[in-house]
Amino acid sequence: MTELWQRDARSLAELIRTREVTALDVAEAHLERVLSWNDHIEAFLHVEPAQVRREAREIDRLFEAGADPGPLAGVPVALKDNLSTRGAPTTCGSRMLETYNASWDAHVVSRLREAGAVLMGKTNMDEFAMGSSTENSAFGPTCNPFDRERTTGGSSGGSAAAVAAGLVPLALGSDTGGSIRQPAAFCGIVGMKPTYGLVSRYGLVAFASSLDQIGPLARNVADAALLLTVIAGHDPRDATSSVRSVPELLKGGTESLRGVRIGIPTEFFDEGLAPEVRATVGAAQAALARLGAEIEEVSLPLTRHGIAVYYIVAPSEASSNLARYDGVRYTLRGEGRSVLDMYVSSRGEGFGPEVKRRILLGTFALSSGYYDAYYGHAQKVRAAMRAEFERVTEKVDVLLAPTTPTVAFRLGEKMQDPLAMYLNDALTVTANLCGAPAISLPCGRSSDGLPIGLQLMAPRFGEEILFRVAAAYEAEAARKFAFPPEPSK
Amino acid sequence: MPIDRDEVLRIAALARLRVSPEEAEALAGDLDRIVAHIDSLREVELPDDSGSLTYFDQDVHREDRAGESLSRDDALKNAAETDGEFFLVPQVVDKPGGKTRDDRATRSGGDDAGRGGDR
Repeated sequence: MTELWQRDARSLAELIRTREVTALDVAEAHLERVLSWNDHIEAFLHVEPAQVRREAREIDRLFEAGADPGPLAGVPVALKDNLSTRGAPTTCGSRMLETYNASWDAHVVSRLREAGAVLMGKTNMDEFAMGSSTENSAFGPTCNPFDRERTTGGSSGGSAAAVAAGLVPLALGSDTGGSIRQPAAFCGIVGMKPTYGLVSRYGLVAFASSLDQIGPLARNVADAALLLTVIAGHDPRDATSSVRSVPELLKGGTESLRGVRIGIPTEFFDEGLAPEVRATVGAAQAALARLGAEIEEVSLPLTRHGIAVYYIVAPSEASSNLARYDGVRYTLRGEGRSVLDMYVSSRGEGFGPEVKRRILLGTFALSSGYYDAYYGHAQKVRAAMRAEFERVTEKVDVLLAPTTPTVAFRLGEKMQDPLAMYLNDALTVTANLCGAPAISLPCGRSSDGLPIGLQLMAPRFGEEILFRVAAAYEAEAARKFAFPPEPSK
Repeated sequence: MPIDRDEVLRIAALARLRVSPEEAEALAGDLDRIVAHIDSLREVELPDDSGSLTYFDQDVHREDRAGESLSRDDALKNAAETDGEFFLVPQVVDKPGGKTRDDRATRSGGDDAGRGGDR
């Protein structure tokens, strides 16, 4: 018999809607999973079981009263801990916000509540979303459920691990340079970064505002589409939120991909790629060709500079966004006889090493005498990169690439070498710099049994074709998600 | 350009970040290698008409009208130090006569954290 925690979001929503099970049954099944797994992987930072049960009972009460609590009624959803949640901690994985409680809900959190979702808790992340392994969390790393000596990737590692180990069917993450797609790839699940502007950033604690997007993590493509449908759409509280209407993301059954053009960007298959990743992604390309898609090689030469552009633009924006943590309004305060002393000591105590590194890098790139050479020039290269991406995606519908150059690396492996950690984002930053949507979905395992991710990218607001190709691949390749083995007691 | 310990301390002062001498040493090594990688961008030649980045597809205007906002209690509830009405910060303005009063009672309103003064 399929256990409740093994079921996907759509199946749970259906069981609850038809009253075969209650929302409380579903909540209890997932709370039990949290209890048996979280000590082993540290996916969640905060779970309040009494609150989870209260929310589930309220959904059951609404059904009994004949009301329709919404498309996610009773479905447990986890939130990355940089999404403001009224009455709950929102720490961003930082000592700076260790005791911070948000006074309002992020737009996506309000949308989830309106859709009837049961909020399971807040998940671990690299401090202020800066990192690719969740090891930069001030509260300790999250471990990969498939091999607990390896990282989940990051920065949304807690959300990815929680979905992969069956602690929740759905989670939200944020993606500034790959922070949803890379952990999804490392944990064998689906993770999607929407077009910049499709999902409101209101209430998302800002890291790099021109790159940040909130997106879904799930165990299959249709669940990811369902969650994105709930959170997408215009919000006047985010000036960059698009006024376009949200497309219908999954229009029914699997179709052939005849007439769909898929571009293979040669720069994403450079020598740094692990042979097993190359072979597995190559097999995925062949599966798409069997479905009738036309495959052609394309070239995006400027994307080779993606990491250099990203590690100027993102730290610059971060150094400005994180200026607000000055010891006055947000919890942690250091000692200081003068205001300046107090600012300097609060920030010195509150921020961890990677956050300091990026603030310094950004301050450097924006400082007098260096601005034009670094930030100004990087913005120009970014504009040219985006123009190049748009030119190429006029000729093809979707781009196909690996999500990451390797499978999940070992905990501690890259912590002493920040540049090596940054280079791990080489294949994901393009979509952020170009504002384009991209999805990572599982496409196989390495000989060690570690998941490998396939990445698809589309032009801006191309979510419909992106999900169509992803769903077709998922059906054709029959890559059914498999849960990790249970932790030994 | 190479980044050494002194450069790290100069940037840290701009960023209002306390960095110990040992941290500065380690950060100099990290930043130096990162900046060396980033410097590869200088080789990228762009056409003269490469233009600049436009983030937005839309003009965003709204009426200049007060909307929903935080209550005073909500705004203050996460602060390290308040008097129930204002954020408190260390003394910023000297008392007449030039002596800085040694107490921590400067009140700071709203976003203007550094500009508080005695009432």
